[in-house]
Amino acid sequence: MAPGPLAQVLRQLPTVKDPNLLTAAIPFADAGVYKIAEDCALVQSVDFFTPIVDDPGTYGRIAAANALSDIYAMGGRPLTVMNLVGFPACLEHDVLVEILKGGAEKVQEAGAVIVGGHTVEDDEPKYGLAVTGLVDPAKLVTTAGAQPGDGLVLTKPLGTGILATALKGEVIKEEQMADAIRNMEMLNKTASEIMLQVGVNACTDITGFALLGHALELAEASKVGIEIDTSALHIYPQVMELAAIGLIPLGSYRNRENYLPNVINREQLAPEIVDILADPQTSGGLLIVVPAERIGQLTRQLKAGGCDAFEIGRVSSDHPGKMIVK
Amino acid sequence: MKTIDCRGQQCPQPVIQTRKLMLEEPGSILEVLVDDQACQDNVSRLATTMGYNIEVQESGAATRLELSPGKKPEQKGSTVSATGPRIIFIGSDQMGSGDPELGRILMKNFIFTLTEADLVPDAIYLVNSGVRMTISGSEFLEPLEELANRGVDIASCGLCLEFFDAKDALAVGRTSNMLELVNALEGAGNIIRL
Repeated sequence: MAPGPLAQVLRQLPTVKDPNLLTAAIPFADAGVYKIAEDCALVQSVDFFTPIVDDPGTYGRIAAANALSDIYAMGGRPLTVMNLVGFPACLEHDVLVEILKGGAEKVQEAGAVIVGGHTVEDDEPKYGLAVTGLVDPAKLVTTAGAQPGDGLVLTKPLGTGILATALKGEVIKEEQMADAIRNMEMLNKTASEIMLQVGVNACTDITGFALLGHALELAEASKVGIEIDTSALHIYPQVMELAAIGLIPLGSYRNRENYLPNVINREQLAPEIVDILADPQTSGGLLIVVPAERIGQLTRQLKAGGCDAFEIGRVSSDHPGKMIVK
Repeated sequence: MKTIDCRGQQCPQPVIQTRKLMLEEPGSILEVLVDDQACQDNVSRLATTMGYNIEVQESGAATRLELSPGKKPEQKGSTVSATGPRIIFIGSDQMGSGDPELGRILMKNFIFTLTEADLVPDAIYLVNSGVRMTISGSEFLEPLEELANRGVDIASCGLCLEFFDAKDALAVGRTSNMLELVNALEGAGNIIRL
């Protein structure tokens, strides 16, 4: 759903008061954390979507990596997963076998176990996971811990929404977005482990609400301003060219409608930069908020671990709850 | 005139349909009907990028875009004459970004291939690490010499040569400056940037 209507729906639901629900204070959290012992909490999340690429195995791997990502963003370790499947009656079963095999590959790589699942007949294939993980409450990373002066490091380039739109429109072929596919298939596991080793203040993963929306959620939860240096953003090859011919996904407009009013200096942004900031990401990177003195250590270790790592801005005490672009 | 009715459609469908028709019928004037601001913006961006002229007519709930090919919107600033000199602008001694060794091999290949081309450029301007190609000891000297003999003006940025401490090592072509470079690029009919 678009962020605006979703907020209107969720606003009408009763708030849960349970001392064990550690994420109760975080509005619209993607994942929930529930304490079951002093040193142990469950972290749970669910995510599924329609095919983003044509190859079923690749789609399965991407959907699974995407669903597992919320657990990694919170510093957790995935334990068990359940498959969620929507599948048309008319499609060959072999396709579903390939999708599930792809997903299982990633679950295994994550060190988790598939314990079951559920299928429904649907007009269009849908696939994803419900994930349960464990986290030590003392090491829990949320969106609420960012401190003024902290650096912002992103671990994957941006532009998967525009690329997927171009692929669907048959403007590019799958091999022309190989770089993005490789990154979408990549678990945020290594990035999460490195972030825990280095010690960070906050984290979120960049998915459907784009860098714009997820960074603003972080700004709101931490009551800080988020300064983004748009010239520092890493963007997948061809994305700018595709944006210039108007291949912008629908979600991008929902994101800008909902979030752009909270961006200071938005009138200075070139249209292509707005396209990037508002581009919904599939299995995007972690946006890690790290104390300034550890930015170098974090980016070095991330790069050594095979992740992308680029500093895209700073946390500010000015304009709490807003993004400031330059 | 071909008409594409995109009323009621969501992004990026109108762009995809319009682009498809542009590719199928490159000479045709197209009429696109949209009723959504985002779709109108995106079809307009497509048209501008593809070199179409756009006329917008609001009529009730829908907007009519008339896209006529070939008439690029007037460029801001200086207009580039299509008949001016052909210039190759080289900003690095490597071609592309990625692996430096591969970049060096590609650049060498490019310059050699250029010597075999029927039509050589009028001038090659080299800046930044591109000037390393014109100094003594460079592996590019032979092909660049050959191009110079065919009348190509090979101009290396003086400031860049100084920066690399190679002002006296220039082995092919001549030294140039920023003012000349600006004038040359503005007056060029065709600029190939490497």
